[in-house]
Order: sequence, then structure tokens, then C-alpha cells
Amino acid sequence: MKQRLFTFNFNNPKVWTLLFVTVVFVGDRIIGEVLKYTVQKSQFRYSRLYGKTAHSKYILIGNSRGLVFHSPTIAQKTKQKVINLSYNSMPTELACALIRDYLEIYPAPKYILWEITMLNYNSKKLIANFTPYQSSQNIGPLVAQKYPKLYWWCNFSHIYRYRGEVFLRVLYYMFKNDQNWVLHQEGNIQQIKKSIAQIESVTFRADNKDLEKIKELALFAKSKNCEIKLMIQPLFPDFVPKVKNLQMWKEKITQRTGLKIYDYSQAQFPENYFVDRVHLNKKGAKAYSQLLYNDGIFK
Amino acid sequence: MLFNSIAFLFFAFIFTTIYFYLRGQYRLLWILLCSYVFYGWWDYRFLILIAFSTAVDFFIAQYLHRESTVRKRRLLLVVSVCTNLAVLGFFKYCNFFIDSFSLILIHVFGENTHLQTLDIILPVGISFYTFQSMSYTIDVYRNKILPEKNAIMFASYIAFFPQLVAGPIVRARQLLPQFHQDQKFNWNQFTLGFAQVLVGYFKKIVVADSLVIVIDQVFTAPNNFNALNITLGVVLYSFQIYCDFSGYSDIAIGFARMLGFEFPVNFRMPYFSRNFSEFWTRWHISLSSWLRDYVYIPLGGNRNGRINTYKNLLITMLLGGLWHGANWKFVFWGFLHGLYLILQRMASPLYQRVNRYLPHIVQIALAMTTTYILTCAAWIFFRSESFTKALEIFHLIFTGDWSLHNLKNKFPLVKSIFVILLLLTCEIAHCKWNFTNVILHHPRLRIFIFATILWTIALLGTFNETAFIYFQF
Repeated sequence: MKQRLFTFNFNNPKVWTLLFVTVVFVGDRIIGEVLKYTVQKSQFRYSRLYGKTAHSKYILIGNSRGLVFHSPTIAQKTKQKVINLSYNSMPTELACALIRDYLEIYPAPKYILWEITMLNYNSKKLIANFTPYQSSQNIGPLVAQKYPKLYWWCNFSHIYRYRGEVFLRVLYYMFKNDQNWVLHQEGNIQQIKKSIAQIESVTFRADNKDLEKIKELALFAKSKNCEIKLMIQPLFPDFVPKVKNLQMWKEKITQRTGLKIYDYSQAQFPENYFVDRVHLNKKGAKAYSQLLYNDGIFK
Repeated sequence: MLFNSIAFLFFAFIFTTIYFYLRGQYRLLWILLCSYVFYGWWDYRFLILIAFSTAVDFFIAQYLHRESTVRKRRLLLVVSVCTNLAVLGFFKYCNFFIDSFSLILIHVFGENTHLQTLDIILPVGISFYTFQSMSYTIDVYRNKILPEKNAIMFASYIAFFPQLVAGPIVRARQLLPQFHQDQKFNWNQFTLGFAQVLVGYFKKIVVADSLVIVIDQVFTAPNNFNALNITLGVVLYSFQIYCDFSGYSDIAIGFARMLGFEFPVNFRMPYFSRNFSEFWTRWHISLSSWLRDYVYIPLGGNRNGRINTYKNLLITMLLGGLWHGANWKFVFWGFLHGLYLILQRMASPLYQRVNRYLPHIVQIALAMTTTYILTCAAWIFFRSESFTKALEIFHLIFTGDWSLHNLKNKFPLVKSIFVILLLLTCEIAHCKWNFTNVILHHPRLRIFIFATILWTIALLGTFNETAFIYFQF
């Protein structure tokens, strides 16, 4: 007769509790590994970045406005590989960490095109959503610095790293390319004009610490023969005069970072190229990418 | 202290461990002390209010029991009810009444008659413990229970922390006898309670808090969204408030069960109700039964003809609405539910006649859908910042664009719908197979069920320690 090596009395509260804690812990680690594997296999831009399949000649980065750089058009025109690493509401610190990771993993790209209106928004919330990539060289320390408690919990429970919106996007782009993403909506021009008319004035901001970080990154990139080009995308024509300090803001950025700004904020784009006062739609995105190519930005 | 905070987890662990080592008066003192710490964590100054309410009702109940003359007994009851309502009225409704009176004055006498409101903080859970305390004296007055002689026990009953700030409203006749027994550690009860606590956390952290991001945007600026977005926002809100509140109730009931106490059920899948009478036997049962026993029936209930029944229903639901908050939108929400109940009674003969021609399953589906849609319509008034905004939401739903193409917040929406479907699947499965037996009799399977809930919470939860919606009531 076969004898069991171990027998557990599951009705004993102490034994049960001990087994329960063990199962929770071991399960957490196993599921955590499965989720990690899922993240690595996805076609989402950051999974490609850390999965070493994102080698490109041109890197595009920014917030929701950065997403409007139309990678397929740029790739088609330049006949080079392009990757857009932008994300909605991306803070500068996170962008710096991603670019630094890229430069540490891959041979340097020729140019990094940086949509700098992201400097105007200083929310750090998105960093907390990047925990699926916290094992990277630069994201992990950033999360630990900005959200120490969260970082601790993410190490305590590996499943917990995958709880945010970024992981949902990882799943969504599991088998499909995310580089042709573009705003398909047509903006309601009358409504855009109406909403702009209600705005008295807008002041663009740029945090000195963020500018310092870009400067450091630019020097690091330069050491690898890569140039960072700061870009300002077209704004809805009626909105431009509302930004009172545009010139001063640009001067401050140039002065602090030592980088040239390519300002397309006042490019004469038709109104129907916009979804709202700051975002281009599909037509606008294609036209903007074409304009950059024509102006020799990628040369 | 929030149930969904780390502080509470430590608090609950320390409390439970020591609780089972103590007996008799020491245990009662421990419950009282910890309950006051739990409440005082938020604002210790309001402990005076609980202590005051407790003391008033404790002594009045003693006098009530000793007094035999009807007039004096009635007077004592009036003193108790008025004191409780005065405290509630001052802290919760004072500014509401000043504002409403001010509006009337402005309408009649013009702009210069605006009255200054007072700077009052609303004590958390005041509506819950005031109602609980009031029901005790009323029950003593009605000779349904004997007054509690042990002041510490009575104070522990009023302040018992699992249900102190957001219910369920547990009547004295249900809970006080349980305080008289020294609850012993029962592993089966403990695991069943723990299961309910986990389900409560799932509802709160995974469902309710995950929906907040979508709902808040829709209700704050409905103009920025299309009709489909707004409709989904309303549907999600119906689940947010359900999961937030029933989640709290589950944690409270489950935790009490771990300690050996039995609380009444507060929610029984309310969105599966086929009419509004049924809805109110499934939604916030402890409040609806309180209103039935202490307002509707004393008013005459359904005993004095149809018109009086309608009047009593409307008064009860208006008070139920007002209980939720000092705002006309809550009163209107109560009014709508009163109206639904009246219309349901009026349309009942016609409804039965139509039903004869419909298959049973269609009847049920139709009844559930209609009840759910009307409930959601009422939630719009309940959640909107103002009456005007609620009407704007209705306008946008009926006239706006329903295209999927212009849908915003797609990722949070997908997650929200997924977690709701997950919840509904679990609730229906529980209804069909009753997991209680599995949890009790299959300890190995229990390990995996509990672990799966924990893993799901870790993966799908939103951990920002959002306060429970019903705290504000």
C-alpha cells in the first residue's frame, strides 16, 4: 500500500492558515512570472523597448501630443525604423528614464524628437502605472523615489505590479502594432472655437528640475552621437494668441537645456486638422509628419 | 478609520487577537475602547456626540421601563427622539434648512435677505448610530425589549465599530442579546466571516473604486462625453454605489461574524428585483425595514385605504431620501422612489392583465429591466451635483451621439465592464451553488477560493483608500 509522505489536517486552523499563506505567496510569485512573460511578449511600445525589438533610427517621445507624431508616415518617408514612446500625460522624468533605458539597451538612434509641451503638465501620476516595467534600470529607481510605498508593495506582491492601465494596454496590444495609433475623430470646429473663446489666457510652465534632467540626458545622448530635437507641434490657430508667454517659455527652455527648439505651434494648418485646441487628428498628424520630413528634420 | 486602509488591517488584527483572550466585562471594555479609537481616528471630538447619544438613551430607557403612566412614558420617548433628532438636525440638516429658508426669503423679499450658513462638520456615521439608538428607546417604549442595565454593554452596542459608521443598522433586540453571551472562537464562523470580508474588499477595491475614474468625469462634465459614454457612466454608477455600500456591509457583517456576532443581511442582489417593493427588500434592508417599522407602519401603513397608503409611502420615501443627505436632490430621489412604489400599485391590475399574454421568462426579464432602468434614472438625480446637471444628463442621453467611435475612456470602461461581469458571474454562481457549503466542508478548496480572491484584488484593485460613499450620509 502506498504511504503518503506528508499528511495535513486541513481542519486545524493553524495548519490551514499556514498552508493558506504559503499558497497565497507561491501563487503570487507564479502568477507574477506569467504576467511578466505576458508583458515581455506584447507588441506594446514599452514591451518592445524592454524586449529588445525596438531598435530604431528615430525615437519620438511626448505626452498625448507626442502620440500624434505619425510613425508610419515618418518611417515611409525616411525609409528608416521609427518608434514612438509617447504616452498620455507623460511626465518629463518618466520620458527621461525611458530614453535613458533605450540608450543603454540599443545602439544610439540618430535623433530623438521630443514634444516639449509635456513640460507644461507636471503630473507624476503616470509613473505609478509603469510598475510592469519596474525591473528596468531606470524605471524601478524612479518608481521607488516617487512612490516608495507603492514600490514596496510591488515587491511584496508581484501580481500587484500589473494592476494599472499600462498593463491593460499591454494586453490590448498583445498581438497588434501600436505605432499607427492616431486620433480618428473629426473635431467640432465651432465647439473648439467656443471653448477657446472662454479662455482668457494660458501660461506655459517649465519646471527647472525637468529642464535640468533633459539637459543631462542630452549630454548623455550626445556622448553616444545622438541628438535630441525639441519640438512644438501645431496648436489650433485661435489658441496660439492665448498663450501669453510662448516666446519667453521657449527662451527659458533653450537657455536651460542648450537645445534648439523647432517650433511648429504657428504652422498654418487648416482648422479641420484638429480634434481640439492642442491635438491633431489623422489628417493633421500625417500632414505634420510630412512637414517635418520636408523641412529636413530627419536629415 | 477606513476599512480599506492599512491602519485598519493592523487595528483589526490586534483587536481580534486580544478579543478572543478576554472574557466578560473586560471584553466589553475592549470592544468599547477599540470602537472609540476606531471612530476617534477620524475626529476624536465627535466621540462626545456618541457618548452623549448613548447616555441619553441609556437613562431614558431605564426611566421608561420604570414608569407606568402612559403620559410620562410618552414624554420620555419624545425627549429621547427629540434629542437624537436635534443632534442629527443640527449637524446634518442645519445648513440645509438655512439655505432653503434663505432661498424662500430671496424669492419673497429680494437679494438682500441671504442668511449666513454655519461652519459645521458632519460627523461620520451620525445617521446610522442615531437611528440605531432611537430604535432602542422606541422598542423599550413599545415593550418589545427590556432596557439594558449594563452601561458598558449598551455603549458597546451603540459604538460597535464594524457597523458604526455605515451600517447595517442593527436593532438592539438583534445585537444586545449577543453581547450577553461570551462569543467563543468558532473556526467555521471565523472562516465564513473571513470569506465575506474578502468579498466585501473585492466589491469595494476591485469594483467600486475602479469605476470612480469614469463616473466622476461623466457626472462632472457631461458635455464632454457622448450619449453612450454618459449612459455607461450611469450604469457604472449604479454598480459603484451598490458595490461600495454592500462591500462595506459585507466587511462589517463578515468581521462581526469572525468575532462571533450575527448581523442581518443588508443587500440581496437588488438589481435583480422585479418591482420596487421587492427592490426595497433587497437594497439597504436595515434602513428600509427601519423606515417600515418606525415610520410607515406608525403612519398607518396600508391600513386606511388607497390614498392614505400612497401618502404614507410618499412620506416614508421622502424621509428616506432626506436621511441620505441634506440636499434637495436626495429628497427628490426619495420622492421618485415613492412615486415608483405608488405607480407600481396603481398599475398592478393592468400589469397582471398584460402578463397573461407573455411567457414567464419574458415577464421576468421585462420586469427586471424596467425596474433597473427606473432605478438608474433615479440614481442620476442622486449622483449629479445639482438638479440642473441631472436634467442636462437626461437631455444628453436622449439627444446625444451614440456612436462607439467617439467613446472616451475606452480602457477604464473595458476594465469596469469586465469587473462588473466578474461580480455578476460570482453572485449568480453563489445563488445557484451556495459557496457557503464549499467553504465550510472543503478546506482545501477554501484555500484556493480565498487565495484567488486575494490575487484578483491585487491584480484588478484600485488602491487609493477612497472613502466609502455612505460615510457622507
